[in-house]
Amino acid sequence: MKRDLIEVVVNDDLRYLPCSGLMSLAEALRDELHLTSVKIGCSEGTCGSCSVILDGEPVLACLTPAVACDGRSVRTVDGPGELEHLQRELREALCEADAVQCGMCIPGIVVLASALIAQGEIRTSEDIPQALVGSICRCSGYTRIVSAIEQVLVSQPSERRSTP
Amino acid sequence: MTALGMNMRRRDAADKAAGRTVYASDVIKPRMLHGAVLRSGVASGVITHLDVELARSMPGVRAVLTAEAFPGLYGVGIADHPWLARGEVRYVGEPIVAVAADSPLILQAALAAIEVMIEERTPVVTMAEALDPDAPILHPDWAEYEVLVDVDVARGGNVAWQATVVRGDVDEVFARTDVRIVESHFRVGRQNQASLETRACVATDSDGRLVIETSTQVPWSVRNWTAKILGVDSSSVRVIVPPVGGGFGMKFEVGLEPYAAALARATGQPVRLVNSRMEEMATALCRENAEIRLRSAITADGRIAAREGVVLMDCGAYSGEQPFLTTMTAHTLFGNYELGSVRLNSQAVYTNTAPTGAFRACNGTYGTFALERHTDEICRQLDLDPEDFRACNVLKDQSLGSTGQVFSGNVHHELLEVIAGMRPALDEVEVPAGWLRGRGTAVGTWFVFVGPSAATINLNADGSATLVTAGVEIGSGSTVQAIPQIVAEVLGISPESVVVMQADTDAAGYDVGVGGGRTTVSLGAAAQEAALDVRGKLLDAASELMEVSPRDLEVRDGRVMVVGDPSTTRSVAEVASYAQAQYGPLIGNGAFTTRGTECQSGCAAGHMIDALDIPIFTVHECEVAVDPATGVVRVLDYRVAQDVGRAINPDAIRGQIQGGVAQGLGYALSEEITIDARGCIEQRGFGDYRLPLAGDVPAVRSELHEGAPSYGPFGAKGAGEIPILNVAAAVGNAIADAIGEPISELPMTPPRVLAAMRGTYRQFRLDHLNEPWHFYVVGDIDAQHGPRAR
Repeated sequence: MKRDLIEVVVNDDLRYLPCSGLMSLAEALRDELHLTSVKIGCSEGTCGSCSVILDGEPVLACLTPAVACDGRSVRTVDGPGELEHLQRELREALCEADAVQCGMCIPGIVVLASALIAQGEIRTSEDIPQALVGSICRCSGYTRIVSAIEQVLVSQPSERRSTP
Repeated sequence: MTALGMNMRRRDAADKAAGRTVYASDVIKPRMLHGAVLRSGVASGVITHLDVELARSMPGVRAVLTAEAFPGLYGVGIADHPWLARGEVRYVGEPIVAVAADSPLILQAALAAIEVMIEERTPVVTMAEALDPDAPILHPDWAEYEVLVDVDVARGGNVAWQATVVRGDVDEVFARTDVRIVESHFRVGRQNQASLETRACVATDSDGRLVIETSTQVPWSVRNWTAKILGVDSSSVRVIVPPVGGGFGMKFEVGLEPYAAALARATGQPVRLVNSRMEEMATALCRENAEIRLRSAITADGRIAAREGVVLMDCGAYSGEQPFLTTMTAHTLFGNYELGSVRLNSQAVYTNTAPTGAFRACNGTYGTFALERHTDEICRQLDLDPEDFRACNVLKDQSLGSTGQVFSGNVHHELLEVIAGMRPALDEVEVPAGWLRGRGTAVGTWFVFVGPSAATINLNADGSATLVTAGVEIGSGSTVQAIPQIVAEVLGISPESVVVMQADTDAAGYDVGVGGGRTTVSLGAAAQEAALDVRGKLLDAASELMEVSPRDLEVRDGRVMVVGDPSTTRSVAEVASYAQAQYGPLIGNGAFTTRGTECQSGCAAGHMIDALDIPIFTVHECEVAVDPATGVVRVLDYRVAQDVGRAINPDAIRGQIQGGVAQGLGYALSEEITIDARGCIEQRGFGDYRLPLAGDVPAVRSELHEGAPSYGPFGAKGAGEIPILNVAAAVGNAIADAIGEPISELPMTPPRVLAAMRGTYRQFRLDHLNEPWHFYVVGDIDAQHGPRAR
């Protein structure tokens, strides 16, 4: 089976990943780099738990072919970078809200919410449930996750929020 | 300060949020192989040809196993389930061959290279088909199967198990002229647990033993059943459980572990199996689909003089948990209310579909849906006030349950008062213009599946405590919140200094498992006893050290002190160090099991439990809006009054309530599984199986009711399972109230709500449930119940 080497900057480090044509970015990150923070809930793009940031955009790693990431930059919840602070705030708010139960969905939600807040896609509390439409949590019933995100949102500098 | 009632946060949350937690599905080991099973594509047929030689010869394929490698038959009530198909297949998705290979790609190629030919038979897809006298029998050897529990059970043909309740003379009451009779039929679909982590495990053959790291709720069942299925000694299997990415009952049975263990033994290498989402959609041990007939005779003063029921529960191709669950209808569908004469027949029925199993509150969910919808129907047809009817008929102190169990406390009454106080004023709830508004109330009764648990506590010389149990952290938080809080309360130390060890059957004694609302109760009680044991030893050592009688000592805030003289004190660490040096480390042990609750002799037959040990009560109420044009339902306000006995960690309980109600809303409104004529489940993923999303779930308001009797630790009851119990019932009653017509099927999808608006369910009858009650009985009902109280 032919396996190519691709160059990907993962969390600021240049990594060489062997990948066959069918391998997803999620498989490459988990199986080759052991970045198991990229969780697999469905492998078909419907649960959001494998969300990572590819060249600044949140993507579903299970639907992204690894070969399509050659020469690009990937950030997971483990990584440093411009969203690190926001992600830490989100994680702390989720813990403080007792929003984490089994925890499988949480890393993906942290990645997604941090990117959407930074991009201004989540500007008000009302935006949060819509932003989470691709993120499935089977344990919590969502309200604590939503309020934790809301709490981080209101603490952001005002240019990230809509004017009242 | 006390550790009880504290809203302690979870020590595992930060790592989970940061993605640092390693679940079974994340485990990677040196030399690890990837394993999978080849599954049947047909629901019923004879395997006429099976050739695995090509697959076996492929480079990178390390083992290919067929049925001979799995000699034991599995079951909960009946051993009817071969772990790989033997000569015939009985459902779509049934494993036929197990394979291990170097990589996932080679594995897929190997599965594709297996030659299997199945001579397809017409499958028995519905329970109506299965009970037809001319139906093919799924298990022609049913009489030869071992019954695994000490219960006399009537079964036969496609009826895997029958559980009945008979009390008094129902025929006599129904024939009376002073009663009015109300009859209802219900049909409910399956619900997939859909834990975000699928079933997953890694097995290693190590020092002659099989070591399995697995995503399970039941480490000891996995240990014992893996051994039995593989035909090895149970002591040669060790089960370790990393944090579990959700279970909800599906992981309450053995799953992939025997395949991984057999493949590890065959190859000498670690083998990992992880189900894909598609495999979980096809083969998860769903909450079963069921069909119910209920008839009640109501007196002029609004009492229930007699109730009769028939319940058909689809166990799929193998019986699994359903023989146990047939018991539970007596306490849910025939629970909540004082009843005169009673007769109930609940049957687990074999069909050529994927086996069903346990899912949070199991059949209590639809038992409560049917009962509470029937209750509102009684009131609608007989022009009674539902609030008065419930208040008059609910179980009270000294009331008899359907099996003759005597209840204590007036908990339902108290909860009904609490819920009335939570009701919003009309103008407090905003209804979309043109939509119909409705309110639904539902009463529910559930229980704690108590059973055996063991605990050991090491009270360390630094004043911290390590608790060793087979308790698993499935997400509910019991092992990082309530249980450390219980131990801390007894030992007078902070709950942060109590660590609960990951479950390992080599370290901890037997445990039934994490489920059935039993974690905080059973593991908590064993931990409490172990803590009391070690506390006694601590005080003995302190007494020696401080020259004070142990009776005059107490432990608070991490210090042993003289009662009434807090200035004479030593830290727990000082005393534990002293004890360790003098006598050896401080260790305490605890064991716990059910006390058992009596029922009336002769009432119940085929039941694995006769009465509810530690009953739990709950009342839910909600406001909904229904769009009359589309049948779309929106839940506007949702309220829960729940009996918790004692709230050890109130925030954690509220988290369980919010999550349980969300799952219940999925069950009530959107999660639909359909099975086609070939026996194939049609939903293949989250794209067509509609789970609740963030925008679907309202913030649930809850009141935790304390003080009802319980022999759990500090009076606690299970709080995690019951929040889902009443949801479909409350929402169903609210929809019926909104549209002015009954609704009798789950889930209540928009097309069904529209149909209900047209009056469909006023006449809703399931033809195969129209026969007299005795028609459904397997065997001689009088012999099964024997002489009995009237």
